Amino acid sequence: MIGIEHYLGLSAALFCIGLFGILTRRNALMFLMSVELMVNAAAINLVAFALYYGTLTGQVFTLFVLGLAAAEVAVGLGIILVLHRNYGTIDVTAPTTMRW
Amino acid sequence: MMEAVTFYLFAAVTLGSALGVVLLRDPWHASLMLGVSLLSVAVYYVMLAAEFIAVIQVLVYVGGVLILITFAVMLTQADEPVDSAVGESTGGEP
Repeated sequence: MIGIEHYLGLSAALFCIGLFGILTRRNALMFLMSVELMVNAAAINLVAFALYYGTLTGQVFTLFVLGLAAAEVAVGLGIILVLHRNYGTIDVTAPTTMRW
Repeated sequence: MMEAVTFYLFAAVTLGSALGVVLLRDPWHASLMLGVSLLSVAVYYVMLAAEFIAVIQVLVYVGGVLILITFAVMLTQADEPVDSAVGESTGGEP
């Protein structure tokens, strides 16, 4: 059995890739996919710590995180569809009506 | 030893497909890469003795979230390639 630090390194790398995607892309769908990558990195951390401490708390946390991610994608896709209907694009820099 | 080899192989798959999600231009290819990445994350859950979480990961992400994302890609990207194709065809005809 390999140590927990391997999982922590993998999770950090995955989180950094997701953060890079959020900071560089302008497509709103790419935002959602990058957020999914970051949520998965956090979930890997939680399950790894659950095994490390020998409790089930991390796994229960991971279940809540999975439910949150599914709900977040549903709400985000609704917002993206409204954005596409109103502005004709899903570039997140296009809507400026809430800027003051 | 075997587990370490499996871990590093799937780590390469996960990080490579995550880079594909971030770097690919086409949202279709990016969503496919996201599916590969989420499926390979489920392997780590099995290796971490969390089989139930792995099953829920495959069901929720690949069965639900990825379908929603491809649905949104279909709805939002449908007109743009058609426009470009029309432009190419009209540009090529004369």
